Amino acid sequence: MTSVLLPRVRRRRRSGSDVGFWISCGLLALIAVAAAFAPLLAPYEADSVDFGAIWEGPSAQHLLGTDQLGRDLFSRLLIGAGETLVGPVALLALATVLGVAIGVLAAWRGGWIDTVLARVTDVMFAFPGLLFVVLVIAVFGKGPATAIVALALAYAPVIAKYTRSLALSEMTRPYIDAYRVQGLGGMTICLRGVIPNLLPPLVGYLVVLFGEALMSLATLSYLGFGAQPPSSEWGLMVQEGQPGIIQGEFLPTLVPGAAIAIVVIAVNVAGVRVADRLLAKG
Amino acid sequence: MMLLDIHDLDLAFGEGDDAVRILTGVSLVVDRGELVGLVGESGSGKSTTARAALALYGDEATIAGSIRVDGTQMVAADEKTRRRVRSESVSLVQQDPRSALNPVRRIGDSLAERLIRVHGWQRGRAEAHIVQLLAAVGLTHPERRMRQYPHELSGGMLQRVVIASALSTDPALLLADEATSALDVTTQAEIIAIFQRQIRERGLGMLFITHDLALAGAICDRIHVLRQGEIVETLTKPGLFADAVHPYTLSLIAAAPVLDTKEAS
Repeated sequence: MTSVLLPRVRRRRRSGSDVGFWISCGLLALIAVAAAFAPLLAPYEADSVDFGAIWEGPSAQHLLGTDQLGRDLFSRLLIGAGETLVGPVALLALATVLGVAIGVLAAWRGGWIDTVLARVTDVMFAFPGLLFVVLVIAVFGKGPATAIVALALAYAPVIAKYTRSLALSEMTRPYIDAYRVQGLGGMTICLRGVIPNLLPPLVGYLVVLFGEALMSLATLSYLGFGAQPPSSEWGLMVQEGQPGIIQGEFLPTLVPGAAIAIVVIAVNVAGVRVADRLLAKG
Repeated sequence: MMLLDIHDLDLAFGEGDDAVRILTGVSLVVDRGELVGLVGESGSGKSTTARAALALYGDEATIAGSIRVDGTQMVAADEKTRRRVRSESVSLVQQDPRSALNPVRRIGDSLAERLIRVHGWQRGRAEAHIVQLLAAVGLTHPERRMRQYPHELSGGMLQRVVIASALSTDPALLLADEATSALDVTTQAEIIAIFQRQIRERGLGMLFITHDLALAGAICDRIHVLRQGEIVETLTKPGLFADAVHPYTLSLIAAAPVLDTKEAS
């Protein structure tokens, strides 16, 4: 009976998630293009103050209204998109290089190297990520670059652990033996044999991590550790708009907050789907 | 000097009370131009013997005895010596050709890589050599095969690729671990013909590991029967199976399914 029912259920679920998938992809493409051409698209400068137009609602002049300094929220949102979206990419790139190196090394060498690396990553796991990041920032000072590096260090162990488990199963495959019998060294085997074969599941995992990384970076900026004024990074915009809430002006916080939520949700909806496909292939 | 000289090999996984003994007192030799069979059921230690001969086990295995490949002692050799022996003297052909090739690399790149990186050949020379080898193992359109990925080829074609790869550095010894077991009978016969020609023409020595007694009996000069990690009987030509006396060998022979049309009718 199951075999009769299963295909139908599957098909329906698939077509249902297709709509969400394509809407998410379309949204993300739109946002990416908008971010890339922000200086051309934005009607105002991100920091052009207009004290005659403080806390205005949406209008033809200001599509999404203005903040407490009369700055156009739509323009600020567009111009801040670049920093908001590139930050997580840089963060994950750095974390991936570190994590993959550690994970593959641990899996390949085994023994005490594996044990030491496993303990270090376990300690990092036990330590709350945000606390670690705040510690790094306390030592090296605040700023967008420090925030990215600190978060990359916090994400690297997660990626290392995942890479290690993938690499361990990859290394039991016969072609690795074939490489060894051919007299190739460990470095060559890992770089040319193991790592390229880990990429599909790893990329799937990274797409899912992207949303989380974006949230973390925006959180740091909100707390004042990441992007600094006059930047219009979205996390920072939420923080700067906060005084308005008491005055009944919610748009300066709502606009960047909603933007963050939309991107994270879209990335996750699309990402889970991409990850599924890549994992099924790998 | 023998190409492969395994003497009194003991191998166990784990240590102390937990140790699991895999091989006990295994001794066998393979000379130039010889095709030696190693037969036994699944789990008897056939593949372990081949892997041990290549020193592919690390700390997880405890090894005692002597394994000489082309005169070099592999037991307790350092990694540099092992890599030299593996790259120069011996090749391995495994059972499943699909998993024996890196799936994300083109066939030409997979095969040229070792010649270029380990043996320092120029790319052009390596590729010309491989095209020639692919043709020699009976692949049509060798230039096109070079640009294809493993998933684009059939199992029989891939096994030819793996054999071409194994022969590319002109090894003296070839270990064939169930190399024809995953192939259909026609392809099997063709692959074995390739092996036999290499043995005849180049004086290649070969250890042919299989569970197929009839096949081993048809092609091997000598057969070692392995049971639970011990060689229980060694059969030599011309008698081979006719001379078998050990009850295990006899039971293996008896267990082989026979299609006898006369009896059936």
